[in-house]
Amino acid sequence: MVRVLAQPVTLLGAFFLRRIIGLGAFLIFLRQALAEVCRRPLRLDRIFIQLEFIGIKSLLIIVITGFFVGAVFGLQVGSIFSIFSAESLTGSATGLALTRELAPLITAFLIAGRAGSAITAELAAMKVNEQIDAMEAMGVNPLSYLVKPLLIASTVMMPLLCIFFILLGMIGSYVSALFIFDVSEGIFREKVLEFIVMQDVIAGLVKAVFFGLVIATVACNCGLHARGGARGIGEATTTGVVTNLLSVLCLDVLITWIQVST
Amino acid sequence: MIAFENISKKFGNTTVLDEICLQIPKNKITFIIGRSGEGKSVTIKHIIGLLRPDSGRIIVDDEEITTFNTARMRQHRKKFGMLFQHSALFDSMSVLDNVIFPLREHTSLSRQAMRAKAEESLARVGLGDVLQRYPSELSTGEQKRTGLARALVNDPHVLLYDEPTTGMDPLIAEMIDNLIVKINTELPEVTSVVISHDIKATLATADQIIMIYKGKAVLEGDPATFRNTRDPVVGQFMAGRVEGPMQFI
Repeated sequence: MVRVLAQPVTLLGAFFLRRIIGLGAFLIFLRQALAEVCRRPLRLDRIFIQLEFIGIKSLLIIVITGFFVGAVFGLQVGSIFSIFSAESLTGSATGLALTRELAPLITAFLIAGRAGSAITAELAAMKVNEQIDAMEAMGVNPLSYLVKPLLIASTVMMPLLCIFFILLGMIGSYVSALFIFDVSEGIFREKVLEFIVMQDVIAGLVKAVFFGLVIATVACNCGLHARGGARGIGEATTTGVVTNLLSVLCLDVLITWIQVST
Repeated sequence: MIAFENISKKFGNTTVLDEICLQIPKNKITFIIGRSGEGKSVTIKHIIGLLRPDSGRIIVDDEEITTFNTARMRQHRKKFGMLFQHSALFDSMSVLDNVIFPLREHTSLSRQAMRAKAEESLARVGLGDVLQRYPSELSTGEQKRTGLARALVNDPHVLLYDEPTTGMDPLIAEMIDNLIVKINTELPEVTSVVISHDIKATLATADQIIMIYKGKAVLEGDPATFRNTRDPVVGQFMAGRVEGPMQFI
């Protein structure tokens, strides 16, 4: 009887223990990767390749998503504000939501899905095909050659993509306000500039920087610890994407809490 | 010379190397033989520092590498070239970029000088016309030779071959065996360590043979020693017999 009751507790304990061990391993990996960022060689050529992969090649999806999120948010907010005849605030409400929360969060989700999954899959394939071992055997540190450029590129590109998301979101919101709620361009601009201050934008960009760092680190960590064959690559990629989404959400709460309380 | 002194290595509850002692002479071709799963690959991964032993000492050229930290170990690895069982070529790079990779990482040669050295290394293994092709566009034999060219390009002191002919047709296997001999003849200062299951090739090619069984080196010697051995385990393995003292699961 005691054994039957103890079993779920044991399983629950094992589950949390695995999570804690995983978190510890991730933090060690993050520390090693950050230490490598500060070391030579800088690997500018590799950094530019990753800047293009994470940044330029993600721009289209960021632009499209940003526009539609802004437009839909503008429609939703505008329809509620129209009850109080306050449609003129559609742009400022959308802008505040975008700068503080929506732009960094949705950009992070998109990058985790597009670039993060590709990074994990590529590194996992290299791991299971002994390419990482081959690199080590040649005296080359995979953290320096593979991880460092990704970390730098992701951290640099996330806030820039976030800015694009905000800009396109505001254009989407403007289109909604102008064509659906008949808000004039002057009023729209005046209210946006009145309510959104630089601090809101900076708060969002700070989040984006941390999201970029975490997405690249989680993606690399999952890829470099892949085991097995094709199934191992698939599992690592799934784990990488899920861990990234959850990590971004947890980090978002933490950063927002710090920003609100200071 | 490379020496293992009482090296033990466990993976979980499985003991792979059990206080193994062996010596690999300098500038010779040494073959390590044994059944699958007996720790041959684990042995060469210890030599290059990809695995660390649980206990014991490994001496390479009078240096105890088991005490090296990670940075020192990376320096140590520059003395080696390794051909992996499945070649382990970087599939996102062309053949030329694969071979240039160690040079780009460890030398300050100009791009032209690196290219010339890579072409020389590829020519040594008989590959002169595949520079811009990708590993997926090569045959298995060409992949192995590209891996060998990459291992050779940085003028290594020691060449490690992890089952270079496993899974290959007899002609390609013989070509790779001949390449091992050719490289050792052309570069007499290089020490070669080869893992193999191919007894015929081992006896024909090796200067020194080491057989690993149950985590220990059961016999070390030249091909004649192995041909004339009365050790029942070695004899069974050399003859490829199922019946005998060697246990199968």
